[in-house]
Amino acid sequence: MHGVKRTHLSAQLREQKRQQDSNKIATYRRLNEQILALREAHDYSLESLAKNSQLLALNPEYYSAWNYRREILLALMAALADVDFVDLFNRELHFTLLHLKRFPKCYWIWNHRVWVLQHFPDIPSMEITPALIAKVWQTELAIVAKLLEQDSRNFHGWHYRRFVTGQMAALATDHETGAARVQLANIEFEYTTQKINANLSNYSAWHQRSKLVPQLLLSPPPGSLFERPSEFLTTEIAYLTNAMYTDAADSSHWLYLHWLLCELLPTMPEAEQMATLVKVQGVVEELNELEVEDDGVDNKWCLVCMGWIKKEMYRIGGDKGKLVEEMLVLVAKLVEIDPMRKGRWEDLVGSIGVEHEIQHR
Amino acid sequence: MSYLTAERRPSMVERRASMDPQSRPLFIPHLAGLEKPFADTIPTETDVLVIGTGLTESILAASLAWSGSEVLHIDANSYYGDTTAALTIDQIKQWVQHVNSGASASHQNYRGALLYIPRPSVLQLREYLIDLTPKFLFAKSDLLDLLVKSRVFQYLEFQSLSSFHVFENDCFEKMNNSKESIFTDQSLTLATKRHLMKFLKFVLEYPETPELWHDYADKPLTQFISERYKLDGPQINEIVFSIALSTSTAISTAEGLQRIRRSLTSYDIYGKFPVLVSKYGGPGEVSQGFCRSAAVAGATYKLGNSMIAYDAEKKLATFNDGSRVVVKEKIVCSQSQVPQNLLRFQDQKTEKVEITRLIAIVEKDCAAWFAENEHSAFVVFPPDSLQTAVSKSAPTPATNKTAVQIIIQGAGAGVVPAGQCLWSLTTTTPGDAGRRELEAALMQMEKSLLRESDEEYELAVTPNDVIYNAQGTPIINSLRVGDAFKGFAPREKLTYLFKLMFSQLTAASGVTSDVLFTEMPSAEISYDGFVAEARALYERITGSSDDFFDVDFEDEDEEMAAVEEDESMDVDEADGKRSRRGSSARSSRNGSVIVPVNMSMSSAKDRDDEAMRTQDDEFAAGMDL
Repeated sequence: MHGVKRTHLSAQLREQKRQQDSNKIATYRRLNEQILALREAHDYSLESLAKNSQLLALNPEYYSAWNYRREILLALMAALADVDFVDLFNRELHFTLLHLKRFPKCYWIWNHRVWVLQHFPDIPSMEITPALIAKVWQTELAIVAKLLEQDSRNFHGWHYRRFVTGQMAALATDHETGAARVQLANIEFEYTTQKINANLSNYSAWHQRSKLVPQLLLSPPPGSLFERPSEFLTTEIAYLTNAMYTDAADSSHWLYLHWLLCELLPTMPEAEQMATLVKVQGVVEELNELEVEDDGVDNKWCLVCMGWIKKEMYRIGGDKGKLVEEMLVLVAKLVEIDPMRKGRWEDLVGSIGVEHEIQHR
Repeated sequence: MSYLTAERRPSMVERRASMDPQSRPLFIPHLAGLEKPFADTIPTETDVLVIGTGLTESILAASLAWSGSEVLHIDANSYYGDTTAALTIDQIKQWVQHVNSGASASHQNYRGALLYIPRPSVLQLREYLIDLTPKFLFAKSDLLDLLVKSRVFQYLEFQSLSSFHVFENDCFEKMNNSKESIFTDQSLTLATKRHLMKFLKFVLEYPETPELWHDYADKPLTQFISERYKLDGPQINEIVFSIALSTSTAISTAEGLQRIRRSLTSYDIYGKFPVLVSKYGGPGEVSQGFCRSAAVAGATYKLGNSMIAYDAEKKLATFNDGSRVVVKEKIVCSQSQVPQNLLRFQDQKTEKVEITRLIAIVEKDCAAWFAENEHSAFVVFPPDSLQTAVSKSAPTPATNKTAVQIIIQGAGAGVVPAGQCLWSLTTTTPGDAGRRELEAALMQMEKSLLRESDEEYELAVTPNDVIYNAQGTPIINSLRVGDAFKGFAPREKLTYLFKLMFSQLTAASGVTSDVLFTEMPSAEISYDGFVAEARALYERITGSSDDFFDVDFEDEDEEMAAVEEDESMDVDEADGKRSRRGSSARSSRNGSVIVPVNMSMSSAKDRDDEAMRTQDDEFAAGMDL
């Protein structure tokens, strides 16, 4: 009975607990009714805001309450109420952060934080300087880095990071925009490396990487590897080789490789494409041979990856007849080791336009 | 910054009243926070008498007290901990005298204590805590579960330990025990990475796949790894000595796999490290924590007390202060302080194994050994990696027969002042040979440390010396650059402030009658074994271990959580409201005292502070990460 909470409370304790729970429920219901009534009455006062905080603390998933909260804030601003708005907004930020710590995966809290930050400039009588705004976003970046330290795979955090860096890039004055964007992207790219090194199976970090690479190849930071795409590819493939040898069963890096081969590579010069495909094929085939030698079965991901490679080779004009033959062998193996995904493997063949071949056999 | 500053929490050793000889009362409970009103009369009977406050006895005393037994817990020493004590320098001096005189009632099974303090005036005596039995705690282990369940962890402060170094080819290799460290280690070939990962993955599930290893169960682990997983020298050593923490190359596959799994499953529970160490002394603090828990549950404590007579017929024990107690159930006795009159109950046939320890304090912070934000590290010299010195009694040089295991602790661990470091070396090679091996290990440590710290020494860094830290930034693995140092002559000398060498016999417990004996601590580097032993004794005394530590503080937890919720809401509210709510939360916490003990104001506050500290992130917040 490990990890199972004991339930044999005495009758008295049970009653006590029931009492506590029902008190909690009653408080929540009362608050909820009050808030709904206040909203109905268009009450946009600080007192309502405080009540609203109480309710959200009990239930941060309650989006109607968040909406009402924003209505209050907007109304207060529109009425130029006698309120220290800077302080008020700072407290909003603090409020969301407090709840993000408890519920780091609640959409509405993240959403509200974004809203607050976007409405900062609307604050009446607020003097906005570029330096101030830059500082705000720097702080946000630090905060989200901290949250990603606690859970490096929280996709809310990664999404928010993209939002923040987007805002930072947009801040740069016109003639700097390009450089600032590039520099930010480069820093973000390094950040993904850090996160992947700390946890290989970080799908979010691999995804972020795939979002950054095309930007960086398009406008490479001076002196960086991205100025020489072919070298970049070699380095990236070495990095991935390291990953697949470390854990061939981990799908995260295979999915990034899929993006690299099937999305990024087609945008590169043709000669580069074929050379890269041949190289990766060599690596993956060798790894699969080792896997067969050790475990007696093919590694599923190696086979799938070979499928992607053949598909790409077919597209850019390899020996089509031979590729189709090889693909059929691959798919047969895949169906054998993973019959539950038969349709998916057969689609792989379909993708190179040989449905008829299957029907013939 | 001085180690004894006001802002840090005093360790239990400092908190206990026995630190001040003037105010040393006859009875305990003078554990801070537990000032029970002193009994007017000495108890005349008790269910269980426990002699010795070592870790096993302390866990047992607490478990018995919590299940409602009357427990009288005594110790011949004036401090808690017995065989697992953490001692100050003064206490060590006394301890050495007692051990060597052989006349003391409290240090049986120890022998040959040598103490070396070259400059006594330099040692600020109260700034040191020396564990007689240094240990570290696996993040997934029975003791940790018990610490959490019994809430004893609230009395303690834990730190992480992630640095494991294996000495090989005159340099230290860092352990690769996780996917990430294997992924980022540039010194491993792709094939090695693959095999290493396969092996580690296999170990995590080995109980479910007996067909893969059963043929090897009784064969050496090294053979299994090299034949089945094609790993060689350095990786095998790393696995056997740094992950399985074996002391011998001969460890069997069955035992080895179990030990490797223990380490792997402990990784990434509280963070990216497999083990924890308790601050301000390891087992010394932990055993004291359990004594404190036992006292909370009603056990009576008497330090400086030993039994002078025992009437087996009447079950009447007489103590050196003249008091007498009828023991209704059993006597449990530590084998380091067996009274003359209980010797006849002891099983004399049990085989004894000798452990030798060497504890040294050096005038260097040894920061290079520790991982970032850590203050402890583990170093191991595998068998045959050391050359022992030649002397008259040992005319031919030899290599070490068993591994020398070392726990290194810096000032941040609360055992030495800033700028110093404590090394605890242990070997299971018996006799003088073991002592020579420890000396050789110490020399090697000294050499490595000196060439580390010699800044003027030019060294050639090869690509192999570059590793990546957790952030993926390349760093020079300074402890690996040993190869470049052959023939290095240090410019400075390492100053030893303190050296203590002693041998201890492990004696298994023999059970014959109403008197049960606990075992002497083993050479095992982790805390594994203590809880199992206490549980077995508990079962022997009560007939069943089903209700061993059957305590449930969960309701209190819930209340705590509720309080926390309250407070987090407060931050957002008006000032007046906040203080009102704050005070109500405080009173409710004070109202929900764990146990019906009369606490003084100061102790209530003490507890309150601790509750505050442990609230944050549950257990992890208590650690200094």
